[in-house]
Amino acid sequence: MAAFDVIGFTLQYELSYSNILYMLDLAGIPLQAAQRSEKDPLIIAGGPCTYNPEPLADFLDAVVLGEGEEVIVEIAELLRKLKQAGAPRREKLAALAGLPGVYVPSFYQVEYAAADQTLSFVRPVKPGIPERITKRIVQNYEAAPFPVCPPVPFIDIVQDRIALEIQRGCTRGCRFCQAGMVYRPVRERSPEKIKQLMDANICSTGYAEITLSSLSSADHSCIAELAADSIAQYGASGVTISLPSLRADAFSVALAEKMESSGRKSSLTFAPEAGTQRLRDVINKGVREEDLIDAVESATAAGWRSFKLYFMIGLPTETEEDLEAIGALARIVLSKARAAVSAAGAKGKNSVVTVTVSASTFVPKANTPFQWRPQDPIATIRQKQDLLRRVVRGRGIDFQWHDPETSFLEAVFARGDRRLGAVLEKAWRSGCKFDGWNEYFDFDLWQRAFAECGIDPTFYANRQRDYQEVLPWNHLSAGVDRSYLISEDQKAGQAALTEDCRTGECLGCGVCQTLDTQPSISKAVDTP
Amino acid sequence: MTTLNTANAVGAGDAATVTATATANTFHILRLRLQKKEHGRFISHLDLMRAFERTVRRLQLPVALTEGFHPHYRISFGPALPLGASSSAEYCDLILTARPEQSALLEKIGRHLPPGLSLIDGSYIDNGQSLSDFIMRASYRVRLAIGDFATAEELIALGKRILESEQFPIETETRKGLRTIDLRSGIDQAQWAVSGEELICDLFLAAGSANNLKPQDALIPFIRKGAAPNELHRAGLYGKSGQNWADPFGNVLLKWPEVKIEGE
Ligand code: SF4
Repeated sequence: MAAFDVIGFTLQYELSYSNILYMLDLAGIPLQAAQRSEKDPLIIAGGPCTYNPEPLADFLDAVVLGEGEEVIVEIAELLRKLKQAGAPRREKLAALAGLPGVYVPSFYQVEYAAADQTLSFVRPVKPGIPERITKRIVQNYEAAPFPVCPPVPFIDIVQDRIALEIQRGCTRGCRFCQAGMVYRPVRERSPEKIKQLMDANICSTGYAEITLSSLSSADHSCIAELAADSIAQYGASGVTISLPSLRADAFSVALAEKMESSGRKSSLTFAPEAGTQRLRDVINKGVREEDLIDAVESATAAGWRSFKLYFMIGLPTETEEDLEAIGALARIVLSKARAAVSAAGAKGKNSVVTVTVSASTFVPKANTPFQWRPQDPIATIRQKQDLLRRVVRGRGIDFQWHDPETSFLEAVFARGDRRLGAVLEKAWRSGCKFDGWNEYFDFDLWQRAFAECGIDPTFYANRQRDYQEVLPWNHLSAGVDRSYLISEDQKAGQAALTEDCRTGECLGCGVCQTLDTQPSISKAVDTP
Repeated sequence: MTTLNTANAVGAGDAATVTATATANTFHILRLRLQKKEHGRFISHLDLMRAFERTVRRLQLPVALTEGFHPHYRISFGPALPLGASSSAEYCDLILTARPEQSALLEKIGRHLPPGLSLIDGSYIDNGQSLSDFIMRASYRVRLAIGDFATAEELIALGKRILESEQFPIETETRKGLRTIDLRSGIDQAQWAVSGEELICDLFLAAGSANNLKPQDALIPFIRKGAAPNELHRAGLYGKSGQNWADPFGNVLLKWPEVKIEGE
């Protein structure tokens, strides 16, 4: 690995950070960017966590914000030229910093206020380095390259199928969702292009399953025709078409029904996220109870018997009432599904309905309307989980939850600053790795690392910031205006809804102006 | 590649014929002989089936689908091979709904197989038994490293003793736990020769649905004497053609082993 000129890491999840250090170390590459010599590769990161890469600033030579298709080529061309010219590392970094969307952490200086430990400023150390880095998007999504000949493994791997991206971005505007904010604007691939890519992929890989992937595939304006056409074309060679996630409404269920072959049905998952309409309005999750019931009833009629409901706990303004409502909602879903089952005359094993409630813990993320909000302390999350265990119960109802410590650590790093680099290195040196795997995660080791570095992790996870605070990622922009994020956060406080800009009206999030682009939708539809 | 036209010589099928005329469609059976070599040895039987299915889908061949909730291609394979073994006798039958011209079809399949797999032979089979009904014997060549516990002569004597005995019970680990099997009934013929530090064994073993002896089980007595398999290769699969043994294309096995051991 150390023989490469450049190594790229995808920052998918905060709990994989210790593994990045682990991999660098296994490859014999110095961990700290400042320690790397001319012969060491450049370490570049991309992916969702780059909207706040500050905890990794010590370890990364450069960070790419946004979509890679074009900038990757620019980086490769630039570095090839400089390599041929025998340019030193520093010169390469300076050249990288000149590319739009590329952030070189070592060219920025940070300072903290003695009084409250918050940031005083982040600024370039020399002229010519941009004050602010804005993410890249591909200029023409329709024409952007998409792999049509991926490697096909012999062994059975996770996600052993073609994942065909049919659209990018989602403008439903859930206020907790980082993906929904940072991948804007929404752009669809045309049905013709999708079919062409599907064809090329099947003929080059022979995979028997394709998932039409995106943040919210049922929102694609041509999804129904697309599903019908692909099934008609490929059903005869045993190919199944699937969607990664479903909206909680009857339209999505009808789609899923078309895709799953008749007969046995696996379980269906919906994500109402919160128990009451009030709290769903706070987070701008446009799911109404009627929609969910509708979806469950039509799914039961179509043969599904097992439902999974995803919720998030610790959301801003959450009360006991909201949590109790999760239990109530699970019971309503169960009873509506049972009623539909008996109406359909199903008997025996085929009449057994199960509802699984899964509650994850809210993690505030950078570049979202909730970036200023505190995460609930671990003890509070525990109490809330206890409460849920009492109210989400009964025959046919199952409750799943996660240890709050992993979500806490995720929250620390999601909004952390450069001071966390020392903690990360210490934790990794003391044995932390694979933190996303329960059997490896060792919270005690992490706590010791924080203590030894004199850092209070609750400062990052559980503290309410005010809008004036200099956030560690202030100089990194996903194109969405800060003022829009603030107004969304304020609307959350009033439980006021924000529409989806897909249907026409621009809501002024700013991304289209900043990036000089616009949403691209194949055909005008009313979003349900 | 030799294209054999031996369909009529294939075993005298009766009730078990695969000519599927039950439905309105006419099916055509294409029988293939594949080779697993080099890193192809590390593709398990299940993975081999999936890799082959993907090859077929890449080519969009007109293979019939099974009925049911999750339809899949009607492709059947011969007996499984242990992981790590090479083979020049991986047979499979494709049930096709059309009958593309044979040589062009074989050429296309051969070209699209993944690395580690190659096509040795193939032919439409118009009348005949399914692979699972036809196959009764498998031929293996094993190169055993002679360990420190027994000399080559002692290993050969052990082999002779197995062949001369009426029964040779041995304990082996199965998925259901330890089980005693009779080696003798599974070994039809065996030959040995010494070549340098290795003992080369040719085994003609019972294979298929009636009686099946896995080659790794046949080697247990030798392994217990310190021998270690360096290489395991399946050379052929056979069934009855009249009084003779024949391969799944109907070619009669004239002498066994087909390739003589080059040893002492
Ligand atoms: S700028 Fe307007 S149209 Fe563009 S993504 Fe934001 S809200 Fe939608």
